[in-house]
Amino acid sequence: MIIDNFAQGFELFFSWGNILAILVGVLVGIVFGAIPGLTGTMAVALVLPFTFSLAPVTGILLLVGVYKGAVYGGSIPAILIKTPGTPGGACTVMDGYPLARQGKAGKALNMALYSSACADFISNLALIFMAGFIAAFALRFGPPEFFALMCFSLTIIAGVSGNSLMKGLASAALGLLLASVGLDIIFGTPRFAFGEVELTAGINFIPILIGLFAMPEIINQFTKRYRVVTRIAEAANARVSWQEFKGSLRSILRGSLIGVVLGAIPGIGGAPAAFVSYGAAQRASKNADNFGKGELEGVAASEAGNNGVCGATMIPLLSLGVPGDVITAVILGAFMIHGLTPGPLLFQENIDIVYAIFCGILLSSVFMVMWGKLGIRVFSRIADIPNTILFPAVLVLCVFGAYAVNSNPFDVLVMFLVGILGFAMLKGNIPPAPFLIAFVLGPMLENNLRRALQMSNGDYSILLRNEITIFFLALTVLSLILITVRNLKRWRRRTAEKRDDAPLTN
Amino acid sequence: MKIPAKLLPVSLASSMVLASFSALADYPDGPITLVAPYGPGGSSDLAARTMASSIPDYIGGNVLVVNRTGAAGVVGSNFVRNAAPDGKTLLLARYGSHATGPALNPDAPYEWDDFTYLGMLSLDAFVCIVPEDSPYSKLEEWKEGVMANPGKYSYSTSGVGTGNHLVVSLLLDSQGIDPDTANHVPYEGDGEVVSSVVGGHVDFTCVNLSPALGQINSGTVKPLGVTTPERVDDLPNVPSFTELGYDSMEAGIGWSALAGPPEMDEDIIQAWAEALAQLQESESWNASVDRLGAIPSIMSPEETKEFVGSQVTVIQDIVERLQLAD
Repeated sequence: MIIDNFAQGFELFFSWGNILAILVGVLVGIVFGAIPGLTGTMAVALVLPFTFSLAPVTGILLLVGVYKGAVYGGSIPAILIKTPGTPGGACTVMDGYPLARQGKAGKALNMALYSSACADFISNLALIFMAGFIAAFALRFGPPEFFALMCFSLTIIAGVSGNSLMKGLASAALGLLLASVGLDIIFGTPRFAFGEVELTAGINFIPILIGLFAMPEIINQFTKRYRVVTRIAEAANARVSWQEFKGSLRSILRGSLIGVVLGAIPGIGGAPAAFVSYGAAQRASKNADNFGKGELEGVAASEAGNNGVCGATMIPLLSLGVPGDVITAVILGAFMIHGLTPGPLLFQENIDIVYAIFCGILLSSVFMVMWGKLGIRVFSRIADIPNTILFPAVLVLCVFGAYAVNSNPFDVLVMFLVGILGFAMLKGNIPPAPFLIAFVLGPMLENNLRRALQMSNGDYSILLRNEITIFFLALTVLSLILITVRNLKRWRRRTAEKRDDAPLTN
Repeated sequence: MKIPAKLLPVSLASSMVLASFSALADYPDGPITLVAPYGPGGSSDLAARTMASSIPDYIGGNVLVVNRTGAAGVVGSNFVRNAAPDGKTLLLARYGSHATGPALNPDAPYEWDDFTYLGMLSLDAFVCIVPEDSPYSKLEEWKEGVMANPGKYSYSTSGVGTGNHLVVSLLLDSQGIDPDTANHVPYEGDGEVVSSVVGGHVDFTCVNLSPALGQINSGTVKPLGVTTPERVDDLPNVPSFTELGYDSMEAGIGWSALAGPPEMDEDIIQAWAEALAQLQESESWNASVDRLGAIPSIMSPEETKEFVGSQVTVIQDIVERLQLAD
């Protein structure tokens, strides 16, 4: 039956217009994703009016192409200039940028591309073959389940804290503090808004992202009088060898699955998936200590989590009519403009359209590799630009990016202030990743806990209402125990080393 | 050039008239920014984009949609209120940002009439829904069920002070149910509200028709009624609250209107009134609005202000009576 559907869908799909739509869409997406501040959401929203006059399949494939391209594109500036182009790319910065500084920009870019494309393809397969099953599971995620999942996700802060758990927690606390600015969700009371309308809206994510990663690097460069050139970009270094790919394959597969599951749950998105995938890869890796210092597998895990999301967000959209994230919300609009209503009815009434879209989606992963390979040749040159030219240019891009998100000068101010904070953190060796994770996940944790308690009229037993919440809360407890044990061991070892060192230094 | 002092006011006035005339003769002499105060993909964003894609032929300039989001539409709306009234910066005003927002939120930086209304674009019915497996499928049964089980049922909204927060409050009030009988679970955005009902995590809500239409048609949620006085074409089998005897629900009709900063020039207002009158005839625009589950309803600037004003009066009364803004 599925073969019949594919045959029918392929007939509708196979036209130059449709192929061109994906080809162009993926390219537009990559460009938007690669420019900090121009988000995939913005790209899809801008392209949307053009699809009004196209055939439904062509229009939707164009948007899907833009979406997929943008999610991948975010990794390019994350690796090259430490400025994630999209929220999901933030995690890629952690290992991608150190690799670029070691002269391995091309390698990191290639790994990001392969990993993105693999995860994207797996995510598409999940969409095509398991949509019904996954959608039913995803729908079970209400506020209590979200809360439990977020508890577990927050434990990855320990992994990205570097050498000092205390510094990581301090960083996370700062992130939570900034995230709490804005209207409280249950009562609508302003928090830390000081009567400013701008602040009641809360602090935007993109300026934080740019301020936290790119700005400290720029300030740091300006404070250095002599620059040591450490990068020697060798062509041989640009390739990802089969050995290296195989070494990361487990993380890519794991990340793809994490992306598929988290992507199918409406309202989570790419950034948490990237971090959860990264955390899992780090825990499983023999080189755990090298994560954050330029581990190729870190780039692979992050990008797999990030891109694993973007086929899966189409699962609730197509099978239930509920968008999985903001971009699929825009795509839902495109369906409606063309008189199609995603949901079970779409599969009954327009099965040919559904399968034509599936054909196109599968092709999008291929085009992603194609454009990516072309792009890397051009982009990896950026790593060779002298710092004296590169960093001022990045600064301009940062200001533009912070402004472009919401055309709001206030966001530029936020970016600079967070940039100064980020520089202080850099100097104090406080890792920025926990800050970011807390900033993204903290509000989800708080809002869903409060929603759950609203639902139950204040009864805490709702947090243990089914096997999903129990599973994730148990995982959380287990992770906390492991983290404590590991840190205690490390602390003992250090004090022991100090004791052993003492006579020598005397 | 020397101008006698006596004639100065006259020449000044005439040059001002000339200046403003020449400025308006070629309005719009550049792209117009239309601020959508909510995020991409929502009903308001789509209303803005469908309008922007059809209007250039009639207004004679391109319209660029910019999303300025935050605080349930307040940030974008406030930005337009403070913009220059030159017709270059306009707002897609919504029921949520202009009728319910200022009424429910005492801290809102503007009142509904701090804007120049250029015209109504479309009306949105709200529909009240329950999950597929809810024991209730008729308004009467539902009402009795909720009243008999205080504290048991919960409802979702897209946040405090939003349109559907008010419409749910209207629903409870119209049925004589105390607002504290059910638990309020605020989400962010209509999409999340609908999926909370589809997943059965809350027991009812009222939401714009367009995000719920697909769910209703596929049977994953059950409709109790629509807020328009008559039934809507998309759901011929769903009763309107008015026909069930609860016409107070008519204050829960959503809308999208075109507005600008206060004190806009009469000529610009007129230019838009004429352009919108032509848009009313546009087949493609009407079809797009229809498909989005909204009702195309172009109104003149005066009619628009009157419609919004009378709705706000009813809403303010309810907010005061139920002490919703406290």
